Amino acid sequence: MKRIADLVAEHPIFADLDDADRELIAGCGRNVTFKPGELLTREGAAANEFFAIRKGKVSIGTHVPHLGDAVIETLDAGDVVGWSWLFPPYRTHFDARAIVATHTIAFDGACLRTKCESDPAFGYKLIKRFAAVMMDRMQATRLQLLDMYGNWR
Amino acid sequence: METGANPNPMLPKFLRVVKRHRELPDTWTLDFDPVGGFPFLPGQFNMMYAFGIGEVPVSISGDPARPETLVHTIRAVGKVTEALCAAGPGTEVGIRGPYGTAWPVVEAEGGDLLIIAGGIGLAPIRPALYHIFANRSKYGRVSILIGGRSPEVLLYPAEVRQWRGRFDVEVEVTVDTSNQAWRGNVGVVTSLVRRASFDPAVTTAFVCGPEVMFRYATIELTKAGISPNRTFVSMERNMKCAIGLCGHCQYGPDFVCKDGPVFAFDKIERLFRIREV
Amino acid sequence: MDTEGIRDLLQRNYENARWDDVALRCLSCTNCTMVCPTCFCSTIEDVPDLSMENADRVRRWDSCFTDDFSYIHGGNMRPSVSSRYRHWITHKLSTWYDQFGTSGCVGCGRCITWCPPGIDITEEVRAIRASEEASS
Repeated sequence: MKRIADLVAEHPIFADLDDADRELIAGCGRNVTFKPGELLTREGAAANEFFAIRKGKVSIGTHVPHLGDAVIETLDAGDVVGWSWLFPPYRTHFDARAIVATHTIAFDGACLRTKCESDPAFGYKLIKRFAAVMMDRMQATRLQLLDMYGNWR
Repeated sequence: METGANPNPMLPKFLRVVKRHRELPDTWTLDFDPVGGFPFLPGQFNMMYAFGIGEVPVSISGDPARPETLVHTIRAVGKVTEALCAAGPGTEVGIRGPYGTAWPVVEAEGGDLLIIAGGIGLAPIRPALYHIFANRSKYGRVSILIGGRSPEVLLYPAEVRQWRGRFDVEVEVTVDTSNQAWRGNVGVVTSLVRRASFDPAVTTAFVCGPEVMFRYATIELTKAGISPNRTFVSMERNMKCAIGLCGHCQYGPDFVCKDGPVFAFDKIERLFRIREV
Repeated sequence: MDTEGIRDLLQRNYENARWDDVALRCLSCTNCTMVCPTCFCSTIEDVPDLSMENADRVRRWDSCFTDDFSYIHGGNMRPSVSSRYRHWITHKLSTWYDQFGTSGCVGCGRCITWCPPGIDITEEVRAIRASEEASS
């Protein structure tokens, strides 16, 4: 049986953190799996957690009245889901839905925030990782907005 | 300069469309059966002439091992391509070629392959894929990353499904926008690079799609450790003569028609970051 | 005109501010390319007869200064005058060496004579060179 700290060590978002930091993070984590179609987060709900995907596929999307469910992007093993836990009012902005059976480590946001506040050096390392994720997603979204394959005439 | 049967390189052959197939609302595939076949290298193009309308360069998208059928997939984006897409069986089209450089499918043997195709960019790269599938044992890992606008406008869907069924290639498809009915990836094609498995030291990359797409793709490939001299891109420019004489496709010191369309990225990297060259 | 190292001079100055300066004067009228003895750009026209049975393909002069010279579906690769002037002079005096092993300029001065606003190719080279010396 693997410990949460072992699972944390395997996930790329936590790569190059030292063991002590991983233990700290693992203390706020638990193993959660989702069935296909199940929601990891629901738009508007309290953002208590974020998820590090170990296996599976998750869509980030929202509901567009009369058109249905739009998918903005999909995330895979090695990605993280959720950053609304970082900032008030801690509300989720989009639906995150498992497309296939998905294994994650779920982290308690309040627990991590407390640790970040009491250990700013640790907090900086964690926030830096999330900032990198946000930058990657932002840049990818900008390219999607370009509609590169569209006909611009 | 060409010699033999067609001594004047500016004189098209007149070929009749034998089959026309609608790929997408604005994209059609035309088949021709030229007498004596039409040998070409994957990545090369022809000048296609719609009578009375004009002539444009179009990549060949058929199987290089089956030269008896000449295949062109064309997207209607202007007057000439609209006329070509409307050319039903029996219509005569002027064709001259093949012209230009090829995807280095032989030079890439022995290593891994990473192929990135966006939108209609899958058509010019399909001949290379056919070659790779037919010579699969000569390559290491093969990853094919395909990007499209939305699931309904993905090119060659039946064939892509077939490729995905192969156990000896990794095929990932992603779209820019979609709904829940699509079970695949949503996101920009460049984000698939870090999910593909390859050894950057021995990987050759082929990139084909809109220029803005491969500008960002090459950044991702460099980040992944694939060197620019093993990254190949296919450029697109206005062409009139296709034999390096008319000046239209000039790109720095090169003519895209004869020094390209397939370039090793290190050869054009510097100019590539400069606008309006 | 000082041609010392001119091939490299222009190829390392694709982003020189001088191109915007010359673009303020250049009318993109194509005169320089029409009178240049080495300019070779051409286009193809199809000329059908009245019966629409026969057509001749005719080659005629073209210029890299025209709007549709670099047109591909939906857009123009060189929409700005600065990029067109840069393309012309860089080809003439620099990338010509890559292609033909020599300069594309014979020194006849016709492009200067026939330029309505009087743009002088030698003066533009001098300005590019001077901008480098000033910043070094």
